[in-house]
Amino acid sequence: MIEPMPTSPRLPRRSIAWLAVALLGTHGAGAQAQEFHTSGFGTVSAVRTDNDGAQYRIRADQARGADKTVDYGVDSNLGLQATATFGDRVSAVGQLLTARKNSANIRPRIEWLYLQGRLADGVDLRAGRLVMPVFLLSDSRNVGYAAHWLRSPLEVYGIYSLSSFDGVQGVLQHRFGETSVTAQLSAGRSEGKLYTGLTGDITGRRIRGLSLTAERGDWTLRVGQTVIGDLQMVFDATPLGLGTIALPTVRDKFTSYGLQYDDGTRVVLAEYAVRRQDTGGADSNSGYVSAGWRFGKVLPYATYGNLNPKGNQFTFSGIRTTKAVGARWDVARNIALKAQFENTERHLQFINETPSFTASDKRVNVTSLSLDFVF
Amino acid sequence: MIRFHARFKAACAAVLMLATSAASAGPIAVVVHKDAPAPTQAEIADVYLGKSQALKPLDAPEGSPLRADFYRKLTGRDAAQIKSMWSRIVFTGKGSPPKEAADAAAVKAAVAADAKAIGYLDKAAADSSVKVVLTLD
Repeated sequence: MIEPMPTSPRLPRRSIAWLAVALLGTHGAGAQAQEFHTSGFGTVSAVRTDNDGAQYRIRADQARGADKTVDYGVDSNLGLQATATFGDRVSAVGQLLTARKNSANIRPRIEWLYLQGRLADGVDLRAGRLVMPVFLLSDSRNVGYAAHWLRSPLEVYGIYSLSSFDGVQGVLQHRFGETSVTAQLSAGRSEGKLYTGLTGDITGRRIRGLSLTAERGDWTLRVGQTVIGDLQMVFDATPLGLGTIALPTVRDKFTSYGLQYDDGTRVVLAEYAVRRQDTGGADSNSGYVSAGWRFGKVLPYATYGNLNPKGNQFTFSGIRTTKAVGARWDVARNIALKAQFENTERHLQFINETPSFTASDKRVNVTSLSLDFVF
Repeated sequence: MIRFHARFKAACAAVLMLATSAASAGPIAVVVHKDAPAPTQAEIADVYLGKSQALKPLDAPEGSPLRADFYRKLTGRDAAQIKSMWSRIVFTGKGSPPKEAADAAAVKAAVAADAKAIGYLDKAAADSSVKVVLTLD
C-alpha cells in the first residue's frame, strides 16, 4: 500500500480569486501586446491484460483498471491549455486535464494554473499551481504525443504520489558556451487522492525541491531532489468498519537522476530514482532504460524497468521488473499511433487483486494501443 | 464558406506533400534585422527547437515544403518530430512555438521591425533589407 500518482484537487477558491485579480490587474495596468493562446492534447488508449486476478492502472487515484476486458480509460486523457501573455515579461498559464479519477467519475482537474514573471534575462518566477518537477519528463508526462513511448515507465513515474503543488518556483537559466544549464527551485504544498482498495487523501507540506538540468546538443542530464517535510496519508476505512485511518506523518526525500539522448534517429532515456523516508516505510530504488530507433515515420522501442522495494510498507517483496517493446507511428499530422507489449509483475499499479493473484505472483502481459494527438 | 475552401486547399496541399517525396526547394536563407548580431548555427537551432528564448523565431506556414525543408536541413528532423519536441515545451508552459509568417515579405517585414526576430525564406527572396546569417543548401 504505497502511494503512486493521485490527482490534484481543485485549487482553493481563494487562490483562484488571487490569480484572477492579478491577471486583471496586469491587464488593467495597460500592459502592452496581450496575447491569448489555446492548445490541447489528448490520448485515446485501449489496454488489456492476460490476467483477471488484478486490474492494471497507471495512477494511484484510479480505482479501476484493465484486466482481460479491454479498458479504454487507463491512459486516455484530454488536456486543454491556455496561455495569456502580457507584454514581454508576464504570462499566465492554465491547464485543465480530464482523465479517469475513480471508477465512477472522469472529471476535469486543474493540473496547473500559474502566473509567470520574467524578472531578468534567464530569471523567471512562477506562483500558483505548478507541476511537481520530480522527474526528467514530469512536465510532459500526460502529453502522450510528446514522448516516443506509449506510457512513462511505472517503476519511476508510478511511485511518486503528488503531481502538482501550490506554491512558488524560481527558474534560473544560463548558457555556458554550448551548454544550457537550468536550475529550478520549488516550494509549496500539495494534495491528492489515493485508491489502494480504500480511498484516501495524501497531503504534502513543507515541500522543497531543487533540480539542475544541463542540455548540450542532443544530450540532456537532470538531477533533482524533492523533500516533503510532512507527508501524510489518511484513508477512509469505513468499509472495513474501522473509520478513518491516518498514517503517521513522514519526511520524504526523493532524488532522481535522468539522462536523455535524442539525435532525431536514436533516442535513449534512462532515469534512476531513490526514495528515502525517515521511517523507511516506502524506501525504494528504481529505474528504467528506454531506447528507440526511428525509421522514417516509425519508431520501435524497448523499455526495461526495475523497482527494488526496500521499505516495509510494500505489499510485495523482491525486485519487480517490466520488459516492454513497442512502436510509435507518426501516421498523420499531429497524430501518433502507438502499440506497446509489456511483460510485468505485481507492483504498485495492480489493484483489486484476488487472493489467488496475490499468492501466485505471476507475471502479467499487458497489451496497449493508443492514439495521441495535439491541436 | 471561405474557411471551408481554405481548409480544403490546405488539406489537398498536405496530401500532396505526403504523397510526393520532399524535393529540395533550393537554398534557404536565415535572416535577422540588418543591425542585429549574427547568431551561430547552434544558437539558431536552439531557438527553433525551443531550447533557447534568446530570439523570436518565425516559421513558414505549417505543412509548407519550405518549412519541412528548413527543419530537415537545420536539425535533420521531420515535421512530426519537431511537433513532438514542441509539444513537450508548449504543454509545460515553458514557451510557445514560432509564430507563422505567411510569406517571404512577411518575414522581411517582421525582422525589420524587431531586432530579436529571426526567420527564414528562399535565398532568392533575400535582399538588402535583411541580414543573412546562415544559408542552408
